[in-house]
Amino acid sequence: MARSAQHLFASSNMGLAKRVTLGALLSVMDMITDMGVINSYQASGKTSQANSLIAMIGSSLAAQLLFMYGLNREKSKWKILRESAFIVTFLKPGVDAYRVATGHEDKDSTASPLVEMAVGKGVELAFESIPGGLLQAYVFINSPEKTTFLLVSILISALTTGFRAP
Amino acid sequence: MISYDMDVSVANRKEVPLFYGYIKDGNTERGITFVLLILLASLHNLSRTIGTALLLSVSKELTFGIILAEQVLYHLYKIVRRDYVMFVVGLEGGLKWVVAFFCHTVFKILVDYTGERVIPGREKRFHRILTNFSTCRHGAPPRP
Repeated sequence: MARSAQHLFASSNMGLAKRVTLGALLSVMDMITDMGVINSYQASGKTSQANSLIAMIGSSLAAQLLFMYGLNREKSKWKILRESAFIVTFLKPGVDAYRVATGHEDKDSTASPLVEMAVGKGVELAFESIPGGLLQAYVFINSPEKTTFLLVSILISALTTGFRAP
Repeated sequence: MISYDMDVSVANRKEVPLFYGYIKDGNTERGITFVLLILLASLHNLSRTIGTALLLSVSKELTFGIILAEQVLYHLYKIVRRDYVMFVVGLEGGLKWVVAFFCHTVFKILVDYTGERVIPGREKRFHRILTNFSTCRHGAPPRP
């Protein structure tokens, strides 16, 4: 009885829902604060910095969509559309974590959920999170207006990067 | 976090029980491990980002010079160890060198800003020396 309970305990997905929710929450919060920062840069005349941040987010989304299409080109259009929606809404890290933890299998996909998650996170980090955080920190240090919102955005970016880290 | 996801994966634990399972099964232990892993990577990222931003505001040339030097040293290290190109089906000739260059550059950036956990053994020590060297950037010359 004790052995069965122990086995059940070891193979359970405890905390999975919380982890996925936290990942999704962080991603959405990061997106919202990034939008706010872009707005704030544009309002204070820092157009080139705002455009750089937009370019980083855009290139990250484009690279992720390209990679996703390469992996799922054998699937139906609806499935490709669903995967694209996860990427565009910044919910992909949460969905990937859920699939890996539950051992999700897809015969039509050319890579395992783990590979998909690793590459997705890598692309997101390299194209958006790391350069975006660096740009925000640089602007914050050199800007005479140091608002709490800009600082919070940097901290949320760092936390999101920590969540997406390998 | 990938190591966490792999370890708590039900499929992995059933398939290779001797390897996976270093994260304990208790709710509290799993929670603590999860939070500490995120904090570790976040603080590493924050430290490196602030360091680079400070140096960037002092001298752009010096910053790009240091980043470039780190990249060149890392690529040279991989070439010297004959560990540069990766085996991928369908990649032949010059393309495999181009892909290897792109991958190593991205990996280096990721490891620099998130931690050292994806680089094993001897390379980890080499990378730590490089990172320590570059974090001396806080002692950069003052703004003119």
